[in-house]
Amino acid sequence: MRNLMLTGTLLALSGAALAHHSFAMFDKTRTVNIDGVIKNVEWNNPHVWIWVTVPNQNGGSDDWGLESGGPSQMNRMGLRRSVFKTGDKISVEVYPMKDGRVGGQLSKATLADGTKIDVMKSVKAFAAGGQTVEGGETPAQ
Amino acid sequence: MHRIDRSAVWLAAAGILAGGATAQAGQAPARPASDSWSAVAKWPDFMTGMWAENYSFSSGGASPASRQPPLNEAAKALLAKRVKGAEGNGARCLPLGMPGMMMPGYPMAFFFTRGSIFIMSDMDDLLVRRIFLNRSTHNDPDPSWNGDSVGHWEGGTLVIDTTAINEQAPLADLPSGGKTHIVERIRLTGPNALEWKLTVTNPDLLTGPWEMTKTYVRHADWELQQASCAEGNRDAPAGNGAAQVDLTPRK
Repeated sequence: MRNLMLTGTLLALSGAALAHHSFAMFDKTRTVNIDGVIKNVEWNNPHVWIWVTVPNQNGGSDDWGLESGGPSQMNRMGLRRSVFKTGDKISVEVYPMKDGRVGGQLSKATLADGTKIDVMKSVKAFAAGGQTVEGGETPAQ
Repeated sequence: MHRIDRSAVWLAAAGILAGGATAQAGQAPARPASDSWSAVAKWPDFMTGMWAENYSFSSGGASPASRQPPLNEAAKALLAKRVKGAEGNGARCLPLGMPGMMMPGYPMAFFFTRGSIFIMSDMDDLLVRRIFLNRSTHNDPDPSWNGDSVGHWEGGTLVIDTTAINEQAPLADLPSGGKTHIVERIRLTGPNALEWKLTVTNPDLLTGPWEMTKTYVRHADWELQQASCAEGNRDAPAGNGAAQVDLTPRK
């Protein structure tokens, strides 16, 4: 089992003033946990989107669209496009859409092989000294 | 009624042709000492790897206070008119321009060549700056997103003066209006640490200079990766600038 640190994604997801976009469409006050199967992966710019088919209460299913970091960011944290395989089971924690549609921003995921992805923990890990900084701003501990 | 003096036209054309022939057959144009490979070889190593901004995460990744611009009343009024959560250029896949392209939270790379330094960010393949070290003046350039940059070395510090940034290029989430002037001082503070000092002025939007000091960490094994924003953007904002998401299935 691996724990992948999404150090790159934080740059897009943490609300930096001039990041790609504002993320204001996601409800950051709560998370939703869903279990499903990966239907499709849009491994493209400016953001990777992972589509997950999830059973709904009506006996059917919904396709959740989950926004993640950009491809270059994902690569830099060692998360290659081959990690997300169509047809694999996946458990995901997301910040849901504010408007109630099925979709949101990826927060955490557990892949079929047990690989865990934790965006916010990765933020803290990065801040806690993943890099040696000489003469620069001291990272928060 | 204007009459065209054909002989004058022909003389001018002949002059152009003669000039072209001279340039081909004659000496290469003279260059200043800064425009040489031997000069490039002496520049500090900004080139190895890529540089990522060293955020302070103590506030969950929020922008440091130093980034808050000293907005004037006119700028505050313009911001107040925007819809809440209005998107910037990034969500539209438009260039961030200067100084935005240096601040998006995506890593950047330096490329040195004779007489010039290029800076590229892989947030978007539109974000390329050229800094001319082989001239010291702005020669009435057309306004552009990144403006016209001339630089020189003061010891190990690269000093850059940038002007001619276009009206649309954002400054503090507003269209700059075309009067932004930026002075940057960039230096290594350690083998893998880069300090970036910016002083931004804009009389239309700011009460005085907006001064920032930012630090970047070197990632020696990172390579620039092309990132074409328009290829799959689902975050294009509504007409009034409000954030929105396109959840239309594509497959």
